Amino acid sequence: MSDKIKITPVNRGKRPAFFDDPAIDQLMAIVMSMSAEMSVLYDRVDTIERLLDNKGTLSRDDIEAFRPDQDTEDERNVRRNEYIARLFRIIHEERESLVSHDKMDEYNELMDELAKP
Amino acid sequence: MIPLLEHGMLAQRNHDEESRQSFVNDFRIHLASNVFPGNFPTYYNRVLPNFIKNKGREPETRHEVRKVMTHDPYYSFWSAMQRNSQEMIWDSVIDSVERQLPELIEKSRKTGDKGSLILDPDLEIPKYHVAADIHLQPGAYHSDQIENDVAAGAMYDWGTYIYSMGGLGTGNNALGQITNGFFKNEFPDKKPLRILDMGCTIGGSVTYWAQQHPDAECHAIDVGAPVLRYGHARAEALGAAVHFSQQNAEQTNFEDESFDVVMSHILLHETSRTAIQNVFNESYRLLKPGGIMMHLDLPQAHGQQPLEGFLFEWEIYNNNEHFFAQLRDMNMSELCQKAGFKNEDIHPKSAGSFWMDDKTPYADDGFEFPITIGIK
Repeated sequence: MSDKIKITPVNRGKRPAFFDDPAIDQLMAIVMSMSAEMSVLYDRVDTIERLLDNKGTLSRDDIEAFRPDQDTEDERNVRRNEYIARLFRIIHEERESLVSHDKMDEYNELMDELAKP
Repeated sequence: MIPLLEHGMLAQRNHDEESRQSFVNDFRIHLASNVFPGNFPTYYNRVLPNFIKNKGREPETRHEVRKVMTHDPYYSFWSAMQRNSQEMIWDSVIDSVERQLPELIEKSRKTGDKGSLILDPDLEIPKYHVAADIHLQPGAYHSDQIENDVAAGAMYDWGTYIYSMGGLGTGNNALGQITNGFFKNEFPDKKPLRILDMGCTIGGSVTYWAQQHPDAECHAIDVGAPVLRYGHARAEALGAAVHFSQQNAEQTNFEDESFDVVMSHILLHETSRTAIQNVFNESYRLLKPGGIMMHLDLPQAHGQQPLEGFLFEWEIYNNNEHFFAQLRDMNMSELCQKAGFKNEDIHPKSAGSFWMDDKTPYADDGFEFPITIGIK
């Protein structure tokens, strides 16, 4: 019985629509999930490479038991961030095409102002 | 991501689950630091000039900004990604919790007995919890899917940590550190003997208080049974004595004038217009004369420019924090007065990570929470 517990991954509440065509919202969710899975796969390959570097051989259990130490996790973070940046190149292109401005500073100043007791 | 500090109840993640959570965490950091800021040039270079062209003036309120910004392609794309990242948080924590649930339930039933747990199966879950799953957590804080369920608590522990991108601290207790540090500074002479935390969920804050005030009797209430079961077991695993009970903060069964401190941590914005007044009334009733009420919550709209005000409200419309829309404009001092606090004893303050004793690497030093103080 215990192995049949399922937590339904659905949240209650009205789902907002971000695009005119709901299919685009759905496609976006699919692309995001694929991005996550590709990152997981990359980490798994990285684990395999590290195990092979160290031991020259490996088993599935070795892979499952592997946990990145802080140095490894730092390296993975750098790689993940580069990966995410490549993934969203088109978004950054749009952002860069708009003239920069000083309003972000104004926003930060406002936040600082609000933060005062 | 830096993992949460181990305690006996934490769901263990396998190789891929850990990697998936790290991705969601890094993705959210990327959105916050690289994509979100693009909303500013988008507004000032594209949306605002269009608005002025059509109306001959700038938008006067955040609501006017909302009407135009939500149609801008850059904003929409960021917004859609942000929403997805929120749902991906829960997706990334469900698997490990689901796999270990029988074991976690078993552990929660064999805890220490420093504190206690009293559940009330007849408690009516308030409408503001049932209407929509707050923060999109599937099943919210109150749904039992099996007997003695702790899944909501186990998901909440990892989920809120990833949500905050580590900002809640590796002990998931940053808000408790903030209120405690703030309290010690504001009221250095007070030695609270009886403390109540309202809407405690897994008790991250109150457990920290219990660790810092070992001589005090700490109580914590919430409407959600699974988060309380988990919170109780978590506190025991951390060696802290907290008395958890399933109660609605609007009306509790504690005696009049029985607490030195009554507090909450980001509870108010998850209630309702009627409930929030009830919570203040109840706080006043429960405090001993000279006792301190402290409700920490999210920033209000006063003093924010239309664009900033609009951007601040993303979670209202996209992350099921519906009551926050109303709370943004409410007068907290008025609520305190209606509850019985004298005007001179009401102090709207703010408190942030400055007051934390554990400076975790991801802690956001700039962010401060308003904190409503009432002295009875």
